Amino acid sequence: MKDKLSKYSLEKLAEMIRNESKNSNFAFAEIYSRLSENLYLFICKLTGDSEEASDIFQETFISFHKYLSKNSVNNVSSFIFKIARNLFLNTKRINEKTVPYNEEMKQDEADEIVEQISEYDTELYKKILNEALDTLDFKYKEVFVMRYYLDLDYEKIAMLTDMDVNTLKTRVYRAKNLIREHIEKYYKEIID
Amino acid sequence: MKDNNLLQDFLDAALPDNLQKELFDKLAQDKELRRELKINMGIEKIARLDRASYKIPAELTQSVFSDLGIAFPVPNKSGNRKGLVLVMALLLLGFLVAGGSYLVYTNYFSKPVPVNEMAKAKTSIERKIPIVNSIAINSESYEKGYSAGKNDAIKSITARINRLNSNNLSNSNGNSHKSKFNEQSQSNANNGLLAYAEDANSVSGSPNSPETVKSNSFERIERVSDNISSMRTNYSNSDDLGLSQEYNSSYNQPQLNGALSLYPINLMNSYRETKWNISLRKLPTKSLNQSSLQANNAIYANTAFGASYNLSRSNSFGVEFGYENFSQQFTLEGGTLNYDQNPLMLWYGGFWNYTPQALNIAGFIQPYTQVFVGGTSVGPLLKAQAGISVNLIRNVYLNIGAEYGMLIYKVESNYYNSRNVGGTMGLKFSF
Repeated sequence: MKDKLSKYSLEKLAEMIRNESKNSNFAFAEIYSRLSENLYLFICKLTGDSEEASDIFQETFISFHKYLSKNSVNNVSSFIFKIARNLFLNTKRINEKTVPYNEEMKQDEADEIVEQISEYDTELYKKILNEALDTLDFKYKEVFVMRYYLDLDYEKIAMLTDMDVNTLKTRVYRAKNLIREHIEKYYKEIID
Repeated sequence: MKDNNLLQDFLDAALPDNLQKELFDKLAQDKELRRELKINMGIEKIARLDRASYKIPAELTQSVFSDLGIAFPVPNKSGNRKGLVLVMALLLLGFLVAGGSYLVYTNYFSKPVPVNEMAKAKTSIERKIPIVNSIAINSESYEKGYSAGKNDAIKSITARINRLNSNNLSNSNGNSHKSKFNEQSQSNANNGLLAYAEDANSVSGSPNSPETVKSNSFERIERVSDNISSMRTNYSNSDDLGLSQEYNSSYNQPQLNGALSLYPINLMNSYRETKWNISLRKLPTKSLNQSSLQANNAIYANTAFGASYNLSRSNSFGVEFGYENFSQQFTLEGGTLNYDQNPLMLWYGGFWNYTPQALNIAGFIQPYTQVFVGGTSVGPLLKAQAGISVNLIRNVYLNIGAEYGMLIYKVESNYYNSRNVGGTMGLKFSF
């Protein structure tokens, strides 16, 4: 059954769930299989914490399923990403960081990483990038993750974030510059 | 266009060719721009590499579905599986048809190849005999023309010759398998029998040569038998016939009579999530046909090899090959000739195995049943088996069971059967 459902669009599958058809569970499983990977990655990058990401991820799909039981959805992928985004923002407001950013501590940590890093040490590069990503504001982090982690084109991101493409491009460019500035500030040695 | 915009569009693969040339010119002159390109490319590359690090934990997926009260989705490979099963079934069917055609052709349509002198003599009668690997006994003629004691002596000695042939022959089926191995075996058989004939002639003083034996038919058989009888009379000890002590001792050894042997077969469905099984087993050696001929007990005799596919946790099907003794008794010439032989025959076929999961004992002992339909060069073979499969380690199983097999064959428009029953034991490997 699951194989047969693969030919349906996400919206058609959502319709099956809403109508409580006999295949509604399979339809939900199909939607999950198509969107879960990117959604989980997106949430993980936004939160920077796998535990928090798991909570938001779970809550996203549960909210989506509940919503579908009473309402129809025009753009399923956009809708699910928006649920996740809002859940993240709500969580962020509640858990607003209270610990001030310690500049001195950060520099020590960066120096330590630079000492360890080698040309082929991808894991440390990833760590540096994630660290830089964590310093970004949500509006930059979100578009950067969508563009370079989820590999979505500008039109798709614009649809998910309700932005026009030009504004989006500027924001992505700005996000990348902020990351570069962070890396240059703390890891100048490895760039040069 | 600003340099940064050019760079951004270039990285997004959206820069027109003319502007691309402009960018390359600038990159050639501007070291800072080259540095910026390098950093931007590095960031994007690391982001893509980092992407692979994020996999949804299985328990998270399970948690989502359990919270919603929906069955946990499992990879559905039914489509592929159906296709695979279909291909397997077609291959099995093709194999059975091709193999069966070959065996039937070689047995019933090709020219019979005599395996010994007496059998060669009998080809003049153009008789269809399922397996020819030993001497014919015209017991009725003997009863008419000779005393009972002489007849017994002939039978006894003939049985010994057959025993000798049986030991010498791995498979003396002259009608089919023409492997080098069998050719050699047949040669051995011929030599053994010729040696016997010469020996018998020399003892009795008869001028009969092997060539003469070839040219005659049943009269010659009787004359040779008469010589044997004379020999029997002159020499009270069978050792005097020139048979080695080894043959004599092996002749006196009891047959296995269906005792559990050391090799196995197991083609039951594994309760582990495996798809394929291969197995090796030892077959029952007890014949219900009361043959006076001892079976070939070479290490490869009464052994079977199989391969099967698990359709589900309880059902599997597969193919199996075996090399097994089938004791055969039948009559020729309207019942005037009694034939007794115990050839080692190759068989093959398909089977279905059923393992009722509900009967699993302690998680590692699984009862099973199995039915087999196959064929040999002389006719169809049916087998039924039941037993237990014990999980020894990981995907290795020990199968112990009992089996009943029946070979059906036809001689001169009469149907006969050869039945083997007893224990079977073997190993199965699942993967």
